[in-house]
Order: sequence, then structure tokens, then C-alpha cells
Amino acid sequence: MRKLVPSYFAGAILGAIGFILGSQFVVHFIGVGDEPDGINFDQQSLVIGFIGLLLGWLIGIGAFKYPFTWLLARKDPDHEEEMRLAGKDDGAIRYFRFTTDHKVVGIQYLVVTMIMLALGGLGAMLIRTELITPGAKAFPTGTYNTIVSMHGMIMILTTISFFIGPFGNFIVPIMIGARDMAFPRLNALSIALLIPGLVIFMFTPFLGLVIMNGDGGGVQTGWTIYGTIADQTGVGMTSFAAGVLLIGASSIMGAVNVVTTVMTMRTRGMTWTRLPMTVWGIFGAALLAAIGTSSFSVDLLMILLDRVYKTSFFYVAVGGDAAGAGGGSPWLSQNLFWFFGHPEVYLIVLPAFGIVIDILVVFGRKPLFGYKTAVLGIMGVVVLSFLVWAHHEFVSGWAPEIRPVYMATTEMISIPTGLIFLVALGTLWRGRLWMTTAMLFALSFIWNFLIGGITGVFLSDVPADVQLHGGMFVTAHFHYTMVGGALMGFFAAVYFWFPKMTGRMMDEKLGKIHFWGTQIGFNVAFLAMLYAGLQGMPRRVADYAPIFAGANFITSIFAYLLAASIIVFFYNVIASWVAGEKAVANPWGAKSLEWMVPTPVPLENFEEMPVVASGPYDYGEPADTKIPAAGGGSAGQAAG
Amino acid sequence: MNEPRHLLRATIIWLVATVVGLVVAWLLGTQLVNWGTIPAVASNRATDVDQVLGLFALLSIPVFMLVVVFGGYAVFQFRSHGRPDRDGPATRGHMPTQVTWVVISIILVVFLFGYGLVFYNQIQSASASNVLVVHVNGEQWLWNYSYPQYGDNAYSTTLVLPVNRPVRFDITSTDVQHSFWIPAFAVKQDAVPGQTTHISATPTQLGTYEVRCAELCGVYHSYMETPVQVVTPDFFDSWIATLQAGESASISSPMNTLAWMARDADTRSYSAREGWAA
Repeated sequence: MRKLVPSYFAGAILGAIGFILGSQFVVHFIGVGDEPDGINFDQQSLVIGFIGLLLGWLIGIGAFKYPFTWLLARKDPDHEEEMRLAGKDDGAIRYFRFTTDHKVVGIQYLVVTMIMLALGGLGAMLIRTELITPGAKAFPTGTYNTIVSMHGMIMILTTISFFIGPFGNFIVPIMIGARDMAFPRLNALSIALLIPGLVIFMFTPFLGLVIMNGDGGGVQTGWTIYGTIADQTGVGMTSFAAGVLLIGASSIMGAVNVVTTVMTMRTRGMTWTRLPMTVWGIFGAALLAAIGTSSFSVDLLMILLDRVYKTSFFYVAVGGDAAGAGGGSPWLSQNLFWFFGHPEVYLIVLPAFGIVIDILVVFGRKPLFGYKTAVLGIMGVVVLSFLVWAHHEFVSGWAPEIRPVYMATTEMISIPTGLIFLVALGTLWRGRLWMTTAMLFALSFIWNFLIGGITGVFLSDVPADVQLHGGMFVTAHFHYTMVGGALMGFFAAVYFWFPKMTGRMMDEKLGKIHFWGTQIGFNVAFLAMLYAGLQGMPRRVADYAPIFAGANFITSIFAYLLAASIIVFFYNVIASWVAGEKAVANPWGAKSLEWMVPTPVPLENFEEMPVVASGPYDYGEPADTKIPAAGGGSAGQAAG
Repeated sequence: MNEPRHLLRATIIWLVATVVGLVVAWLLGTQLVNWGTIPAVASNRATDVDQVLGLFALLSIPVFMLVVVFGGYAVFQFRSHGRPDRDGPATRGHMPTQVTWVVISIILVVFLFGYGLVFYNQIQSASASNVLVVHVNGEQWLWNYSYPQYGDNAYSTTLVLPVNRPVRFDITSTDVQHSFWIPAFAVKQDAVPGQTTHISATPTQLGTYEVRCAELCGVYHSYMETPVQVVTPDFFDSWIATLQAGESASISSPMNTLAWMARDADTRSYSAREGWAA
């Protein structure tokens, strides 16, 4: 029982108490009901309640223990204490509290992202159920808008940690030969903030039911939360902004940590030109996260202030008065959002670039084709992705003359992206391809992202975009990059690193079923959606004209197939984690550092720091290129 | 078997696949229009956009086939059954290939940009004379139109336009952002509260088409759809005269395609909106 005191359970209880105390404090001492629209549970009390929740949670999981003992003038923590903080000899409970070990944080992220993936996927299925035939039958349109918004936000906002979270934390430090992240406490804090953020955020659709008698809950703005409609939405929006601010803070912390770790914690001999592409991809994504997420946080803060304190950053029309009586700027909201929103999608897909290339190399048994080309591709995308955001505003009316500039930058970004395809093809050519499930998903990334990229070029052209913008063509294009690109990369990464992270092999037979179900379901569903877009079907509609019925029916049916195959994936993960075949240290015969340490990876990863003598891609050449120091143990298992 | 023959074979497959792809795309592209499953091309703007989309589709086929054929060839030709017992060749890149790839992609991008710019300018340059000005006001959840050149009474919730006369839409919104979209005209422009945005087009085909909202604007966004009728100049003049006389602005809609909306007409009404806001 004593063991449970700093833990997620204690955090949940203290968080609930903090929420009640915080919100009731406002209710009793500051006053309620001064909102013109008569909200009886004041938005203000909600925000203060969330602050109470956060504090209670952080106390409960033990995040304040060490800062406070340090503040109370005791000596600095020694190595022994640091190890206790990293969960030494703690057993399984270390996964349920504030633990600094990067591998524990990586597993925590992996579980959280998979739960969120399941919830987001559930949202997608509800959407497809509504759209299977014309007529808004399954849900009231308002509920439907909430589902659409939640699906988008869950997938976009929590897939930030798709790669940076699980693999950036677990794999990257070992890959570069470090004992932990640069800032282990910050690392633990980033997952500690993510969890309450997600709880607050996931609670928004039900807020209306619980507090306001079914009125005004949920966020009905789509994931873009444009200011004018966000100001109009019910109390769920306030809660959403608060929750996502926490998620954003967590994401910025994680990103800063990854950038610092890669820049400063590389072991001797791990030069920039010897970094595996996975590290490059996650590094580039972290750069984007640190800058882009800040812009989004500002946007959310402005929405929060607009709603709670009536600051009018975005609020324009008052009482049907189109003369701009509120004085706010709708375009400001759009710009702040898309300055985050476009780098965001690259931030999701960049790690997939790196991971897919690495997997192609390992299972192609051939050195990387053009290392510098690949780095140029990834870093070119990093730079250009901040210069293209206004292509989302081609029809917004904002400075129409500036559109050709963004048309140019958007088309330019296809050059570094194209380099990734060259590297992938060059690596495959004349390799010895080993068709594991991880390899199959890496290969499917090429096919799917190719379609996503080509449809993207259509959308970069101003006249074509004016026609296609806001329609299903964009939705399908976007899903080809995010699902076809990033999610396939995520699956490949899970199949690839699962043995290292959990010590168990995943079932290859179930993996193949998952693969084919996913590819067929995904491709047919979204090719049909591309077609619906060409037909002129708008996005985010609960109902549509009969002309779109055929395409939507096909999309829905094959979306169910996609979902069924992903259920197979979840089953595979759980069953393999519990009772899979035990994994050896290097089951794939890979050559990067993380495969040289024993499985399960010991605390602090390396007994002695390894010295790297050559790159991670030395296939087809004399072996023993990498010399891990004594204790690395299993270098002999690397296939020559 | 050595390297050059692999390359030669894959190249031949790529060329064949490209030709086949182009033919299929061409046939499909023309047939889709004939079948009437994609929006009609009913304005000068739509004609241009149609050309851009067609050219992009044709250009994308060799690129698509390049990746698919070379990737697919590698997968089928170089796969090993089970775990490979030896490595592939230790090639770390091929500078001429990399340089060629970059140069070709730069040429493609420059071409696409130049082509897009030409069409962009062509579309942006508004015809000078005899422009019909229509004020469009989006509100949750319908479109209001007025014709300021025809006096204060020329107000309607149905858009009626004369054929072959350039139109300039001045668009704004009362509440939140909407997006004014006529798929058949390739016209789309956001309606932003507190701002006025503009877009021009010339309807070229008589008929009835749809105006849709393309920006999520609240509960009944799906139903923010009304007809636009392109009529003869004579019909337009008499219709405007009716409006000016202060008579009913509604005209009978001959369309079946929009009948689906009628059954939800009540949900789009003001009372529904008030109910939501309360």
C-alpha cells in the first residue's frame, strides 16, 4: 500500500480533489453566473478547477518530491538518489509514477498513444457510420460535428507523440549512445503533463451532459478551431483550450529535450554524419514541434481569454452586427493556427521518413543510398515547412496577391520530399529484401505517401486549390499523408522495435493479416474519397446530396475493413506483449547501437560508454564496424 | 544476371506503364465529364481549372509510375525467401542519378509554377466592362444575395445570374467564417465577418447548379446549400424587375438534384438556429 503513494492512482485522487477545490473556490469566493448567456457553471471556475487538478495530479505522482527536498536546503541528489528517481528496483509500479528513466517514459508514451489511436479510430468509425448513406440519421448534426472535431484533434494532437514520444524517448538515446535524455526530469514532466491534458481534453464532449444539462458541451469547430466559431461554441471549448494547452506544453518540453539530447549527448565517435536517419527524422520533427506548437499555444490562449475574459482577439460580430463590433481579427486566428498546422503535419511524418529509410536499409541488407541526400531531404522539409502555411488560406481572402509566393514554396517542398523517394528506391535496388511485417509497412509507406504527395501538388496550385479546397479531395489527400504515411511508419516502427522495447517478438502471421487488411481497406476507402472530392463533396458534412452516395458507401465499407485490421494489430500487440516469443538482443541483424545492448535494456543502457567507429549502414562490407565496449554483450549477433 | 539488364527491363516496364496510364487517364477523364459525375464546367474559370487539373493528372502519371515500377520491380526481383544469408552490394549512392533526380524535380517544379502562374493571372484579370456586382452575405445557415446595381429591393436568397456576363461577388459574413463555393464555376471564397472578399467569374452555361458552404460553420453546415440559376439575360431582367417591384423573391426551382434538401428545410430555419443558440 505504501508503494502506491506517489503513483498515478494517488495522482488521480488528488487531481479530482484539486479540481473540486479549485472550481468551488471560484464559485464561493469570486462569484458565478455573470455570463450573459447564463452559464451556471462559470467558465472561470472550470479553468481554476483545471489548475487545481494539475497541481493535485503532480503532487500525487511525486513530481514535486525532489524539487522540494532541494528547496529545503538539503544536499544535491547523488547518483543513488537519481537512480531511485529513475525507478531502480521499483518493479512494475515505476510505469505508474513520475519516473525519469527514458525507457519507462517511452513505454508510457507508447501505451498512451495506442489508447488515443484506438479512441481516434473509434471516432473515424462513427463518422463513416453517419456517412454510409445520405441523410443525417445516426447522430444529431451537432453531435456529429463534435465527433468530427474530436477525431481530428485526437489524431493530430496526440499523434505528435506518435514518434517523438515512444521512439524519441526509448530508442533515440540508445541509438546515439547516451545513458538517458539530456533532461530526465523534464522528460518525466512531459508525460506527466500529457496525461491530465488528455483527460481534460477527452472529457469535453461529456461536459455538456454532466454540468450543463446537455447544453453547450463538446467542441464543434473542427480541428482548425477558427476564432469566430470557437468564440461561439459552448463551454467545452474552454475545457478543450485548457487541456490542449497542457498537451502543447508537454509537446514543447519533449521537443526541446530531444533536440538537446541529440545535439549534446552523442557518445564518442557518433558524429552528425553517423546518426541513423531515425534520429535525423525525430530531430527535425522536434525542431518543428518546439517552434510550431508555440504558435498554437498562443492561439489557444487567445481563445481561452476571449471566452473567459472577453478579450476579443478574434471576436468580430456582436449580435448579428457585421460591422466588426467586436474588433477582433478572424485571419489572425487562421494564421496562428496554420503556422502551427502545416509544420505539424510534417512533424508527424518526418520521423516516419527516417524510420522507414532505416527499416528499408535493415531489411534490404544494403547501405543507405545517398546519406547526405536523405539528410538534405529531411532538413529541407524542416526549413520549407515554415514557409508554406498560407496555402491553407488561398481562399480566405487574406492578401490575395501573396498567393503565388506560397504556391512557389509549396511546390518547392516537393523537391526535398522527392529526395526521400530517391533514397528509398536506391536502397531497395539490388538489395536482399527480407519481407518482414515491418518491411511490408515500410514499403507501403512509399506507395501511400506517393499518392499523398502527388495529390498535394494538385492542391499547391492556386486555381486548382480554389476548386478543391474545403472538399473531400483535401481530406483524402491529407489522410494519404497522415494515415498512409505517418501511421504506416508508426506500424513499421512498432513491429521493428517491439522486440527491443518489450523483450518479445510480435506475431508475424497476425502482422501479415493486419498489413493486407490495412492496405486494402485504407486504399480503397480513400481513393473513393478522392473521387468524392473531385465530384465536389464538401468536408465535415453530416449529410450530402445523392450524387456522392456511391463513393461514400465504398469509403465506409472499406473503412470498416481498415478498422477490423487495426483491431488485429491491437490484439497482436497485447497478446505478444503478454505471451510472445522471447526476443534475442538483435533479432533483425541490424547494425545501429540500440541492437547492441541486451534485451531487456538495463537501467542506464550501457555499462561503459560505447565508442563508435563507423556509420550504422555498413552492410555488404567487412563486419565488426561498430565496437561497443564490454557489456554491450550481443554485438556478435549482428549479421555480417 | 547483372545490373544493366535490370535497369533496362525496369525502364521498359516504366515506359509501357506510363503510356498505358496516360491513355487510361485520358479516357477516364473525358468519360467522367460525359457521365456527369463530376461537376459541370459552367464558367470561364471552371474551364481553366479543368485544364490545370487535367494537365497535372497527366504529368503525375510518369512520376507515379517511376516510383511504383522501380519499387515494385525491386520488391519482386530482389526479395529473398526468409532471412537473407548475405548482404546486397555496398553501394552508397550514385552521384549522376542523384544529380539527375534533383535537376528533373527542379525543372518540374519550375514548370508547374510557371504554368500555374499563367493560369492564375488569366483567372485573376477581371473583364472590364458590364460587370454584374452581387453582394453575398453568409449567415448561419443560409446565403443572402443582393444586386446593388439594381436598387435596394433587389434582394434574394436564391442566386440568379445572366449567362455570359462577368460577375463579381463581394462576400462577407454576419457571424462566423463561411466559404462561398459554386463547384460548377470553380468559384470559392471565404466569407469573413467584418471583411469583404472578392471573386469573379463568367457563367457560360445555362442551367441550375449548387452553392455550397465549404467551411465548417456550426450545426447545420451540411445544409447550407442553395441553388444558383444561370438564365438568359431576358429572364434575368424580368426577374430583377419582379424583385424591384417588391414582390416575392423566390423562383420555382426546376431541379430534382436539390430535392434532398427540402426534407430538411425546417432544420435550416431560423427557429432551429435560435433553439441551438439558447
